[in-house]
Amino acid sequence: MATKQRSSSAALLRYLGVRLALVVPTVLILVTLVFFLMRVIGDPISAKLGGQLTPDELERRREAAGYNRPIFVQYFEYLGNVVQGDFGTASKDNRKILDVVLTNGAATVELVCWSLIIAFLVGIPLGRLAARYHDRLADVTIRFFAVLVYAAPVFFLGLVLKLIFGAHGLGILPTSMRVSRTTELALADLGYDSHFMIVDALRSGQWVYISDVLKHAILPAVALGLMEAGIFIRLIRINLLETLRTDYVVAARARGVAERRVVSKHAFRNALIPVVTVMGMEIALMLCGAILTETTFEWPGLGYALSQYLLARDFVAVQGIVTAIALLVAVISFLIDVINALVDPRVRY
Amino acid sequence: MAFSKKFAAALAVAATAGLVLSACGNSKHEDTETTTPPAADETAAAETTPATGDEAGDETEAAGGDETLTGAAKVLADAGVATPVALTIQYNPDHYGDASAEEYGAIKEQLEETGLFTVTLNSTEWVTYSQERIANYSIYQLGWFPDYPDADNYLSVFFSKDNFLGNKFDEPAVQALIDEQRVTTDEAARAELISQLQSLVAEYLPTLPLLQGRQVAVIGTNVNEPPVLDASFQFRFANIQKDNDPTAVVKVGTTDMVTSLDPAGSYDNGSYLVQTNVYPMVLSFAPGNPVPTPELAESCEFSEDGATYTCKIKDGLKWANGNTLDANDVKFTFDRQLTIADPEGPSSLLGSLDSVTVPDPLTVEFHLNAPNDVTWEQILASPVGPVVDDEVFSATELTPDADIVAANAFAGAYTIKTWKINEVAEFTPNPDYAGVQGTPQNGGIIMTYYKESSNMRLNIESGEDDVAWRSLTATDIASLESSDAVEVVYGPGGEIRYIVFNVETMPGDTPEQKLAIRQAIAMSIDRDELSEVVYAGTYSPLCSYVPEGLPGANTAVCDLYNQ
Amino acid sequence: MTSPAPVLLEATNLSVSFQTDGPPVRAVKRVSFEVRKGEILAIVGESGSGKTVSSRAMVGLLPRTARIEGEARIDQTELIGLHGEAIRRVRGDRIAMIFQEPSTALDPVRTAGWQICEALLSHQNISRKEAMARAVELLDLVGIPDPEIRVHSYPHQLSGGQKQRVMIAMAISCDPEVIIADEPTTALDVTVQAQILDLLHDLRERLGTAIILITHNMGVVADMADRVAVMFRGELVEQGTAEQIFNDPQHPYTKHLLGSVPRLGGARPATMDAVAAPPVEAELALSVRHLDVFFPGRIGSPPVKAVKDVSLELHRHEILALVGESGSGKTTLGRCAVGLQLPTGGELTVLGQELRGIRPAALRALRRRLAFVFQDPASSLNPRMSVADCISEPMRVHRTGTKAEREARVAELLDAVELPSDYANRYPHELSGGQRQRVSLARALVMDPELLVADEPTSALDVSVQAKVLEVFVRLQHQMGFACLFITHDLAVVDLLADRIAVMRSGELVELGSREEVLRNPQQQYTKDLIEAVPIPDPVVQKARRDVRRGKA
Repeated sequence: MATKQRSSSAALLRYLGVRLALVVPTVLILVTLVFFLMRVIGDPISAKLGGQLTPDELERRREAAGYNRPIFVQYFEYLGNVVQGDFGTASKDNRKILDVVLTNGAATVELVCWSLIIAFLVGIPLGRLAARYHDRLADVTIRFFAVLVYAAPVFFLGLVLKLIFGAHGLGILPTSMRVSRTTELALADLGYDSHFMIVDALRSGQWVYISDVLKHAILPAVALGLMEAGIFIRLIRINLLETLRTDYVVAARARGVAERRVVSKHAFRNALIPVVTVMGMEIALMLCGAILTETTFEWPGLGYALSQYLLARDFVAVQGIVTAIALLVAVISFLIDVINALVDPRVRY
Repeated sequence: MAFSKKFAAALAVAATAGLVLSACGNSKHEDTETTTPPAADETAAAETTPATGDEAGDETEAAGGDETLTGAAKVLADAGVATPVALTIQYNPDHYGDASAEEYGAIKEQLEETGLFTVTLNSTEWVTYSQERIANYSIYQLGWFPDYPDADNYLSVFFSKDNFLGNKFDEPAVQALIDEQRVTTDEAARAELISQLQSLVAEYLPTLPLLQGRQVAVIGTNVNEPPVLDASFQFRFANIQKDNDPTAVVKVGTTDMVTSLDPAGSYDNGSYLVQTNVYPMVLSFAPGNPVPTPELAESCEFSEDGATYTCKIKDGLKWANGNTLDANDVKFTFDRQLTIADPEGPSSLLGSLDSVTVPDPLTVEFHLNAPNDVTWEQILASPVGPVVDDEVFSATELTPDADIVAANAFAGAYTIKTWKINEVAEFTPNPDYAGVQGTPQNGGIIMTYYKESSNMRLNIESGEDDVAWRSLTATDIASLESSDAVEVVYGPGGEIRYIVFNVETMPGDTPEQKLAIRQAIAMSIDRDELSEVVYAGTYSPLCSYVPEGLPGANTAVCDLYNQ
Repeated sequence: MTSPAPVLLEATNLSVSFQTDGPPVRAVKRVSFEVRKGEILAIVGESGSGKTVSSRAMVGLLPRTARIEGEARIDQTELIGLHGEAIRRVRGDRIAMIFQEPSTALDPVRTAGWQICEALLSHQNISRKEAMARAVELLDLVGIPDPEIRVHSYPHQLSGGQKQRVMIAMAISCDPEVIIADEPTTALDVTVQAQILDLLHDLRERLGTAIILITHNMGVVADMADRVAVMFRGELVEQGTAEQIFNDPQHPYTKHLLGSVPRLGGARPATMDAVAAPPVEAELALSVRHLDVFFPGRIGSPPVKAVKDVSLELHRHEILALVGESGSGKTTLGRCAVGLQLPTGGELTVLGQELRGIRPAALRALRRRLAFVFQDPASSLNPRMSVADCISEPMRVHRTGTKAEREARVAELLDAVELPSDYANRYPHELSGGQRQRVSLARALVMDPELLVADEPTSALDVSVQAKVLEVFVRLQHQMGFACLFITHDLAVVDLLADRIAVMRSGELVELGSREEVLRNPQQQYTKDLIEAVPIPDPVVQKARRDVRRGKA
């Protein structure tokens, strides 16, 4: 029945279609929630300038900005603006929120990607080793390491790394910013402005720039990535132990499949399924949670921007950034669904 | 009020006056640690009429066996104030730097050491703090950075009736002196008036000056020309040079964030720093000279009745984008400041300006509300003064940074090539600039904005940056002082730190008692300790209201209370 | 018969013990057996008898904690002590295995073809393309339709029988000399079981492969085995040809085992036939009219119709057996009867109460008169509650009886299910499977229910244990007189206890009648197939039935 196969890929498409369709209401709900929650605190002008201006002046400004109109009118206007990509302007530094979201968002995404690479490089082999030497010295050591890196506050780890590799220690790695100023300005001069430093550096094709970007990424990525690695180690270890006990692993051994292959092609592949799901949530958390790393290493990311605007009571900016994060999280969870469907055929029913 | 209840309670406990130390124990003497010499009695407070000192005297006798009351204890006893006086002091933990908590901790210790006070410290987050302070705080911390470097900016704003402190201080004699110095164009006469004014205020103590800032820059050893840090309190790029190379690009780091490139939308150190280097002013400060000098203007003068200030603008000036720069730009600049009146902007400085007229493109007339206002020249050189391009900027609303940079609407010593707000900015020398800052001695400036001063410190040490400008912590500066890789340069600072008293709501039953408490507090404070222990010398003691370095400065407060 | 074929696989004095925190546990004690070319050796025993452990010991598939002694040889190769590459070469190539649960023994994220190819590529020096072609051939050989399409299917896209066929295809892929089939049909429906057994039979004849068939099902043994080895508590207690074992068992355990096996069409044991209160025809415990139960499908797919237009009645004091294969809707119907599942359409009257639109309070009151026994006692008893707490829980939930009364009731019920009274203070994990199921039964009966739904209450139990539980069950039903909806797939059990039988298939009611009518004179082809597929624990009868089936084919 050829139709069966065709319907299988059709099922995958339908599955992804449904997931994609679910993103829209999710985002809408999030945006709505953010809007109304922020308004519970008050309109942005009262929130920022209340107490600094006379009530009359405050009222005049509120009126000028349209905050005295019915809340639903404002809500639909906001929705309309968001749809057009207009998140408003921050009063703290007069930046367009969209610009903040794009540049700082790119910085955060880049940081998260680097740290995921570290997390994978460290977490996967160690998790596999720990499962393989279950309850033996290697396992115990690795588990201890996992708890240690997970429990160590990111900024503490960051400070230690800065001490070791920074100007006061070995002095071999930069300890702040995404890239050195000269490189940043040179890339800007070349007209590369994708907001992703490594992309810009690669486009320039110049090794000086690429290595500069990579060097800057190392310490923040390690600081944040090790914490993630701690989670991955434990996740992979526990899931691998689980799958190593399954019938299909015994069955694979029984048909003479080499042990190495049994572990990597059967046990590990299946152990990854729950890891992917958790990873999705982790990434979402990291988007805001990277703030400590961002602060420690002067990484101009979204979390950092959010905290600054919060401190300045700039609620237009906060609202815009939170909306953007909600969007990102929705997109990431969609991507995780896609990966899940690719890894686990049972998902695409 | 809650406060008077507290005070009543303090009265009820009525002063187990404890060990009484003289106010001199906190003065600048070498023998701070030793017990009080009885001779340290010649204070202004001591001259006040000895009143109901008896019961306080009995108390101290029991405690210390010393029959002669001195200093703060005597002042309080004379006014009939029961000790210890319960004080609640408010401060903000970060708005005036991270060391505020330490500073006020030290103040609490100094006050309580006398046995005359019990101090409760309250720290409140800034927004609430600024909203609450007038209505609810009776003794609280504030800091001040002048709008323009002139004594008036340290006096009229604080001690006039209905001043911005809102502390109910109202003394006609003080007000009269304030008004008089403002229109005294003779410099020497004015300096004398200012000195008198400070001495008079010192007797009332509506605020207690504590410390004066110092400008601190850290430079790499390859920097052969450091920035000029003078009483203009401006950071100018032009004279900085490294490697003796006039084409070398100098990298500067700072933590002072920028709000906006538009002078109408910002009133803070970070924004002003950029604006002084990219916009011209009618009057500006030449390096090393704290008196405003014509820049766009060829000459300026008051009209005979003193109500109009007329400036002749130089001919043939251009903006970096080629637009004409003339009197119309000047009028446009000040008109739009008044029109926009952004709450984040400096338009409040233009209170003395009535209107601006342009009789011809090279002449601009400022019509003032009060004749011969000597502060007007200062205001022209203040953050409200940067002149903007009337063909680029909007007359009615703030102009976005991106538009300004794209239009190259600059005519200062530098233009901006790359602008990533609060991350990085690249400045290129403006070849057409002929203003008072002089020809740039470097090939450009790369400005890096740090969120964490610790990172700025690491980068000045590693040589990634050539100059580190505000603000490194006192500890960092102290340790950088001993580093071979860098050098620390200082200049007088305009920033002052002080305590505000609400003269109505503060502790004390009568105005006399309140004054006595203020004086006793003044006597109990040791500024040297604050300067050295808390701030490692990055702030120096402030002994009066006008900081050292400005005409008319004296040491009235220390003279009265800390001898 | 011709002269005996050469011995292929031989185990001599094989012992296995497991290291534990305490003293080592001896799972297999000095077991010796052999299997010859083309022969089917059945190793029979109940759970824990060591039959699986001894077979896995030979191919080194036991965990690290196992210690193996003795010898096991295939041809001249000694297997015990081989490890790494040496044992890998044996596995799959010379000795292949088939497992009990095909849905867990196949890697869920790999296609059928991928897994077959993996087996081939592990032992043969062929290209992936060749391997794929061979996989298609193999799928065809094991009787999977459209093999060139199915080869790309993931396990979840295959039915249980198809999955087991894929397992078999994998097992025979490298022409092994011996196949160890460990309970290969236990997880399958009877009709599928029959097909798989036929397939194995067929393969043995066509390929001459020796098969070690590990099973607890005497019917399967009778159907398949040439020789039988009976294991009991780690020891091999008896060995012989199938005829010998079935007709003239020597060891008391073998006799007991054979005596416990319920036989379809066999006489009811006396204990089961005690005079029951005759069903009261007039009073209905349960009345179902045109019942539909639909479950919403995932977005974009139609609803799943679990029960379609079913009508049946259950009288008071009657046992109605609900029979069907997996997915027939019998469990859903059972859940409806106790109000655990609300129907989509039709009428459902339980103990005189219409359940559709019933108020929650009324439903709660009704539930006191209903009870449900689950299939798996291990998961339906709360491991943190003592037996007494488990049993008296419904009383506490419904707030009936004082503490003393509850204790008395627990004692009474423990006695009724023939457990010692001191078991009241034990915890579920301290009990055996059969004991646990008796506790479940006691719990179900604690409120004196008028209607009991028992969902496969004995399928997880060994036969000898099952016999005991069923005996207790029937006695109690006779004593207490509750109406019972007994859900099962096992026709032999049905024959033991049911008054009437309802046969379900794909949510529909196929046939409904008295036990005699349905089992002795089925009207529907499906019922006939079902009965036909049940292996009878008698080699002679089974051989005759198989021949008939073959003749038909």
